[in-house]
Amino acid sequence: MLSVLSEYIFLQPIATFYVPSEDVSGFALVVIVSALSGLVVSMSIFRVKMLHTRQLSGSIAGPIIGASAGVCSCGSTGFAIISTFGTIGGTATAFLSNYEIPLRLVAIGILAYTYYVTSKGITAQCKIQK
Amino acid sequence: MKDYKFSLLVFVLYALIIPTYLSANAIKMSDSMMEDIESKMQESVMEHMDSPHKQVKMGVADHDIQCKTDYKLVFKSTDWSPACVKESSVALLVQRGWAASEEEMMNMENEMMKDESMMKDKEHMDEKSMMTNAVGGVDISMASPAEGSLDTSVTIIEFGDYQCPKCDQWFKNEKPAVTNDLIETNKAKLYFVDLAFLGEDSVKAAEATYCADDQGKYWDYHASLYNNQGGIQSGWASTDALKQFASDIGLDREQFDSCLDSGKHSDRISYNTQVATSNGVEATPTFFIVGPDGSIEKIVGPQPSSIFVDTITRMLG
Repeated sequence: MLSVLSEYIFLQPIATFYVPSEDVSGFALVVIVSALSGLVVSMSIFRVKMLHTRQLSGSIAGPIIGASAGVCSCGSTGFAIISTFGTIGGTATAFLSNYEIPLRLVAIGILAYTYYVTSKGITAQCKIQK
Repeated sequence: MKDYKFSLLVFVLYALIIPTYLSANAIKMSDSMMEDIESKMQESVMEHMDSPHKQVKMGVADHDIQCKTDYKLVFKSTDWSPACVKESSVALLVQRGWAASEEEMMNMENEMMKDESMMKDKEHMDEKSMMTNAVGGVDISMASPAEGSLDTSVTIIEFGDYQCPKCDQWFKNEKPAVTNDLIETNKAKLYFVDLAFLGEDSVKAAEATYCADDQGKYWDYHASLYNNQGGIQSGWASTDALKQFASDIGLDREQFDSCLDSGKHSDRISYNTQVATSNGVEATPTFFIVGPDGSIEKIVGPQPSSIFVDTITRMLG
């Protein structure tokens, strides 16, 4: 999904996967964000359902920041946002586009921290008391 | 026998001449009757004629306004509004300067005819330019000059924004291959249509390209913009920077600056943006590849040059 939004996968006129050589780092960050998001979100859902805790902020913020960085520039998402929100939308998309790499790094940081906290919490709460 | 032949001849002559004479007279009679009726009707209409104001409201042109019998159409010299006045008063009104004289009216009519003919010429030119510059239903009358030979049967229309990083990515990574494989080999030509939606600087940058086009360097300036692209609305495409790019490619700065400062091409950018959105373009870069039969293949995003080559090769059979 992120690869489609970030325009690494094209569905028309034929399905194409293409990463320009200069954008390999961007694609690598997208893959890391996606992998961490999948891990953290599923762990958080497990924690909420099984252990009844309510700590979800990191697992929501991380994927949102990671996904929105870069995808809102001149693609259809950005066009829709600018058309709907005008100047404010334009400023927001410009920010998300200009700071694409730093924002993805921040998202990875948040996701990594959330993963650490969540896994620690699960380990502690699931430990069998002697 | 001779008498018999003579009387037969007389009979035939009468049979031919009399009906012709009668019918001709009948036509004459009916014509005169019709004229009579028409004049009576006109008189009646003249007597119950609407006021000039009402006639104008009904859509009658100023010069075609009808006045009642014994009244004459004149125009007020101050605002050229029509009025029906008694024929005997016309001279007095003209003398006092209330009504326009015959000479003034003639001048006015001439000017109006001149304006009308200029308008018609303009409409005709606009129609002609629209007709000749629509490719696959996309109006490219205000687009960039064509890159490549005009004789090619395939047209690539690129919708782009000079601040869009993906457009820049396509320009740097794919455009050279497209130019080599398709444009320089006379398989296709390329037009650029501005979809300037990423802020004020996008609009100004697009305007600047047409100022460069005034000096015959559209594509040089186009390349210069992408080669200097920075972040969206980060100031890299400010007016001063755009002027500097013009100097860098050797444009006449005085002419370029006055063109850019005047906003001469701003309507052109709005028009192109409207063309793009009306054709369903919602992202940049978007490409329409128009085939020899007018069919359109849409390519959205900075897709590899191989997609363009495959599509055009397929279109050319």
